[in-house]
Amino acid sequence: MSKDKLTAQTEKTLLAAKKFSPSNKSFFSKGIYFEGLRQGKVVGFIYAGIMALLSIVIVFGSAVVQVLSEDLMLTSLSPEDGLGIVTYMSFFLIIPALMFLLFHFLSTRKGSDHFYSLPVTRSAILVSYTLSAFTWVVIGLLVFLLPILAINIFAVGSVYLAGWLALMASVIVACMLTAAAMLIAVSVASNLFGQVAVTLLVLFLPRVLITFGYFLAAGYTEILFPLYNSSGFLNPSTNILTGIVFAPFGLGVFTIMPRLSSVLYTIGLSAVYFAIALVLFRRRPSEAAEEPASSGLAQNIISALVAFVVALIPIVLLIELATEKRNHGSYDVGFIIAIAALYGLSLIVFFAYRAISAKSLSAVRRPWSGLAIFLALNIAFLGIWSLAVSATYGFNPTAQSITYFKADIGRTVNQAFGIQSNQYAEYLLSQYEIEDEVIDEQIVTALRRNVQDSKEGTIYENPQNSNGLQVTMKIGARTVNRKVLFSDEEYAIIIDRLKNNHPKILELARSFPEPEEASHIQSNIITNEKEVLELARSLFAELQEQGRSSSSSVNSVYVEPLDSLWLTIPLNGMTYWMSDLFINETTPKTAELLLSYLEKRNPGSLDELILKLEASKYGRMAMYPIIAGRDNELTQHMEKYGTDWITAELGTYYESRDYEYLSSDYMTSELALELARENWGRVPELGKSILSVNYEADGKNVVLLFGLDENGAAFRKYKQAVLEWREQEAQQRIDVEYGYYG
Amino acid sequence: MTGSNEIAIKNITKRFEADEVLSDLTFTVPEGSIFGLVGVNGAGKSTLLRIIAGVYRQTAGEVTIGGERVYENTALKQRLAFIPDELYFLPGANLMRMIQHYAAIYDRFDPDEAVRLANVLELPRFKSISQFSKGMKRQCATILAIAANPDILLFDETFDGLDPIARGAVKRLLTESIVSKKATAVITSHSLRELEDTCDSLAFLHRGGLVMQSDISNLKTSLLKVQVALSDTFTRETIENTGISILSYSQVGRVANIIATDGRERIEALLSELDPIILETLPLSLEEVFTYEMKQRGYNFDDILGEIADSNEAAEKEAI
Repeated sequence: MSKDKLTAQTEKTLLAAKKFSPSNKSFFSKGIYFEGLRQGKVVGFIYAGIMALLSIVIVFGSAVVQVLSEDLMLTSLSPEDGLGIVTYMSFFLIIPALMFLLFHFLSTRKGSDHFYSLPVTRSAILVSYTLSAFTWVVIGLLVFLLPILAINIFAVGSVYLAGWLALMASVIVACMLTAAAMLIAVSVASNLFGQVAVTLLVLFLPRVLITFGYFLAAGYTEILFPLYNSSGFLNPSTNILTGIVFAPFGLGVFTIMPRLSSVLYTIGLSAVYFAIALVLFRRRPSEAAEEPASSGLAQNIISALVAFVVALIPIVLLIELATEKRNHGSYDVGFIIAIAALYGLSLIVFFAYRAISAKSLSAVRRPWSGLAIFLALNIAFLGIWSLAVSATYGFNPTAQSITYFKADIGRTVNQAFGIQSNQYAEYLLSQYEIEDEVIDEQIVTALRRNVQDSKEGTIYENPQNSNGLQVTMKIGARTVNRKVLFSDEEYAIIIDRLKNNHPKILELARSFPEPEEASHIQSNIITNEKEVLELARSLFAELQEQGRSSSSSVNSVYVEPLDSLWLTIPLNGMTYWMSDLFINETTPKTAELLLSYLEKRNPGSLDELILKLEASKYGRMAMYPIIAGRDNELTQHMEKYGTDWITAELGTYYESRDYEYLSSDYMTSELALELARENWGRVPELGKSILSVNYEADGKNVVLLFGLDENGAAFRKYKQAVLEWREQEAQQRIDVEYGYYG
Repeated sequence: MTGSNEIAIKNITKRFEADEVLSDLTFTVPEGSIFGLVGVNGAGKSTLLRIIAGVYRQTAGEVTIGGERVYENTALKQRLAFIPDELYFLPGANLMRMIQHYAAIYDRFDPDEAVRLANVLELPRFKSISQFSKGMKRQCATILAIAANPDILLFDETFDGLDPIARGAVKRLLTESIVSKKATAVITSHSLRELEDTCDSLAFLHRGGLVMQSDISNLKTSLLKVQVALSDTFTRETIENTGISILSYSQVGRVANIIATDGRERIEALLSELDPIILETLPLSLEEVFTYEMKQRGYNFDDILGEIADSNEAAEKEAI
């Protein structure tokens, strides 16, 4: 062996080692914590590097583009783009990788013996290593967040900081739950296969059982809320992690702003799992390393649970069979065969798990305890389902017992008042607590009938059950949700009562949010954030003054609005959209405001416009008339055949589009000449036809609106051409081709 | 914190599922002694050592060191070093990394001492330990344990499988450390010969039970082999009539070989009365002492000790 020198590095290591003063506390060991950081550093650095790259590409890149283009939208830096990658990487990849790496010592006898011989309590090993793993996750997330914070601090742009911080928080919470589940797994299973299986069981099986159970009970009784609309504990999104994972299956929600209740629930669940893991980890015998599980009992439970996951499928069929029998008095024998086959499959899974986890076929011997547990699980699930159905049917309130109720009365209110509410208003209406004994009486009567019909399997066959509402009833301290089907008479009473006895409802139906509440707000033609906010504020105020609940183009003389806004608003952990908020002559104040914004950027003359376009890489200008008057032939034609675009060709600066059915060159030249001569600077008169000029310059899309002379030659020619074309097309099929000709 | 280092094992029972590996064991390891635990494979030596080290939890009974329970007692474990039969090092670690690991956890770990010992044994500090030979790995583990400055050292088959040079180096390290620190040590082994040189006292485990415990010096002096030749013909009775306690007797012609439990002086005095032609007292090996002691207790250990001898041979072949 060759002697190696005492290098400066060795000296440093020794000095660092000497300075270190290990803690002797029961639940944390600095030594193990720093050991964990060292052991996890390769994974941690790779993760931090990937997060840094992501932040540069997704966040910083879009920030640079937005800054250069002057106008920054409120949502210019929102988490949606990076959401999927960050979220999934963090808890589906990184935290499991780190946890399995750090706790791998439990899988070998010598590793296990070594760590348990150290002067560190088992609790301290568990806590300290877990904190090490989390430190690397937090470092990675901070690396990702830094550019966003920098942009916000140095005010070079606008960021949806609350959204980003909410995303980071929900990722950390999901990681906590994942880590806690993995700690249970490493405490009861001793090889990687078993640990992965137990992790998945702990993370998802409880919620799968709740979701399945509820889904089956709701399907059987047909009077429970749909799962996505169930509240509190039953909703899969209550658990942030399952909410994200179940979202692609339509059972959860992938949101960057989870409800506070979901965050707290997930943290609470993590704490419970962590406490269980702590107990199991402390009890885990070192000699269990290299065994499939920490004890024979644990192995039986795990294998029974794995098989039970598969057994959920025949359970669904069993309940389907029961439903068929109830509804039709008989069932298809195929059900029995399918159920038997699927239970056979679950037994195969049971034995296969035991063999694979023990790496030995002999492990399939003595399965009786495990099979007994498997049987008990099936019986318990069906028993609980049966109890849930009985409890659902057994709920039979009196009208007097209902303190108040809430319901999805948006449609009902619209019918009552002949209005069209927006989504925000409909949300407010759904949360409004209604105290009305007459309506309460309708609810309990309808519910009683629904229960009886459900028991007989005729709920949808009964013609009386024709109007559905999802009703939440407050009865004492309880809150009960039911889907209630009302008869036409009952429904009419409800409508009448809502209309005449609850003035607050109309007020709510006409509510609009504060634009600042929106996480995303957009206009078709205005890109300046502040201007869009002002337009929204003006529009909402104007609509409320007019006593309108929505803004549509129904009463406007224009088929298409001058502009339309749309918003997304996070409310109580859900996202609501408000769209088609039209600005037209029916909202004159807002329309004037819009025109003033457009006028600000209006080049002083057509020559100036041409110069602007000259300076651009390529200039393309399009014009189209926004025809006033819904009832005339021209607007009817445009409504039927779509917006007609005419492009103006002026010199060599522009591209033009040719339409085979319209003599565009001639007509558009006329319009362009008129624009130059007469329409430039002419303020549009709301209610009269408007000429829209649309061009691109400096990467921005610009719209100008001019008052169009309806009596002018150009417009008259345009009208004539369109009407002639209408006659031609009656005889031939029209293929509209959009092409560019230089 | 210092305290008594006496290891007290009281009624220790350990079961793995349905198998009882240790059965109601009780004995004491005196403070400052080097105590050997010997037995065949499956006797329960490693299990017992792990219970003492606080790695395993006993099914019943109690293990205390200086009156304190070991399991999850971090303060006590600071003073305890355990070198198992199968060594563990952090994946991909070199010796310096392991020094870092131990320094982070043991209060009294002396990194300088660890480096010094590594230099003495000429172990490369920056080479991955996974590339070391078995002997080098054991030396690493020994260095790390010693540098932790423990008051209690537990070695599980530390010397087994090592070549004579490596074995010598490790043994020297340990004995120097134990003596200088006045530590208490427990060493398990298959090899009685190995323990004979190193230990003060021994315990023999078999099938989870304690068969025998004794000081080595007492063991060695408890039995004597006497060879005596008389001019006249004689029988066993002749010898017995002198008052000697005979454990074993064999005679060929007028030469008898006797294993007696009396002391040397007494035996010589009693046999001198017969005016022997030859009278020699010969030392017994520890294996021979064990065999006869066990026979006294009703055990026949010929086969078992043969097994121990075979496993010793096999281990030495492997080391070479």
